[in-house]
Amino acid sequence: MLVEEIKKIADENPLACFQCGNCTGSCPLEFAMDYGPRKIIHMIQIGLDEEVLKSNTIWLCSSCYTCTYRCPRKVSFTRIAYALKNIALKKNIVPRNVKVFYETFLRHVLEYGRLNEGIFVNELVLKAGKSFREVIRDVNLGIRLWRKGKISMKISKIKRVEDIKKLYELVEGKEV
Amino acid sequence: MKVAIYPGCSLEGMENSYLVSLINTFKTLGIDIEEIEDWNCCGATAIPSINLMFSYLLSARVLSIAEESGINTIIAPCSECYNRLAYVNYKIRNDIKFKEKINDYLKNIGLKYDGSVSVKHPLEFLIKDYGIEKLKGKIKKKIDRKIAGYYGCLFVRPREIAIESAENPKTLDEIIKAVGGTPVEYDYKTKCCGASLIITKSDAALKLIRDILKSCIDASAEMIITACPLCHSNLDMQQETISITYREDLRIPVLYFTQLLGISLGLNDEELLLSKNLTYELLEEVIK
Ligand code: SF4
Ligand code: SF4
Repeated sequence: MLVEEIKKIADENPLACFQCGNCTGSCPLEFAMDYGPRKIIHMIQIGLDEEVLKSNTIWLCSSCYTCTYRCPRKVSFTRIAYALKNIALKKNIVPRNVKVFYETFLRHVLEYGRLNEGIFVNELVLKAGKSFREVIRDVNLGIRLWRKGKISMKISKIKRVEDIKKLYELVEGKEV
Repeated sequence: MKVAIYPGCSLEGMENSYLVSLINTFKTLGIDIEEIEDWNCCGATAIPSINLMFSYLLSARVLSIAEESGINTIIAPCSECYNRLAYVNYKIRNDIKFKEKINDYLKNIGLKYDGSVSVKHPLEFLIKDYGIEKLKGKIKKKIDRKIAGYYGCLFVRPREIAIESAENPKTLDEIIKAVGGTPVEYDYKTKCCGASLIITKSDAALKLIRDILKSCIDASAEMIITACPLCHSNLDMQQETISITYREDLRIPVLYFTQLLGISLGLNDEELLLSKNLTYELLEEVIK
């Protein structure tokens, strides 16, 4: 049950929502979502777990916290969306480019303790399976950034990177 | 009181100009700050999406290292870093069960955190701790321009960690007034720029960025100042793409509030790295 999993992961209670719609009315990304935050919470309440996890809403939530800020019931859809992302990623219900984004980010954090932006962006453009139009757009911007000296391929790594790996292994309950 | 900076990955990477301009501006104001030792990534929005608990631990490790080094205040200039660190700090201070859980994990890497460190965004630090009147006294060059302060999301929301009202924020406007400019009123001050959606859902993010730029320009702003590397890169870097996609000219100079402040304190480009902004040429036309 999503309700239980959300409680466990994010310490949020979707059942506290009384469906006023403030969140959806405030959400800057609602225009691009299959269902707005209010509807997603309703779907969670009535147990439409699969539809919720398959909706694009999860991946369109930018974590801007506007819904959280305006909710009269102190429900944070932002944190519910984080929990849904956690669950959907585990079940591998995720668009390819989003998956590549998160996996690459995680690899940087586990390997260096930090995100090395220059290399990260480069890896994404190569692996994300983008459309021709998007690649042209990226390459175009990339060239301008390069000229400005904004892209560095320097690697920054923390001293005790084993700390990070250890913490990750503990929360995931498995070795990496 | 020991104050240290948590630069975060973006300020070490593409948005280095924010870090450099902040450090030099602070130095000119007589504030010397060291860097937190062996700091790790805060996780941004990506790590909480993968594993929320792991993301809390990333922030907790930083807080713990700071406490161990006797640091009282962490300055986190990136709004995303600020948001993550400040929220975990808030939870640890207000939820004993959460604190115990975090410490149970930290034990395994030889760390602990008691909750003694405060996390501040540099805007809050400058205006409240340093003092806006003192700041005004240091200004050398007036920048008498109409300027839009873009606040974005992450230091005004959620409530637990907000440095000011999300419906009517003032800090950037205070900075604009301090340098002799006029803050413009517009609707999109705290509307989201889409942050990293520019990578994963770029069309949706472009629309948000377009609306913000348009709202600033319609309010006759001559430039925009930012206080977050994500907001900054979205507003600064995407103008050409937006002009092509939407067939409208929405070009406007974008700079960090630390760069604006630096100009008015008489610092040069080497100290502010203004020329790293993609909209730098436009700025040169506005500030001669
Ligand atoms: S604002 Fe809160 S109570 Fe209202 S619909 Fe959204 S989550 Fe439910
Ligand atoms: S946090 Fe997500 S769901 Fe909430 S308002 Fe922002 S984008 Fe919409």
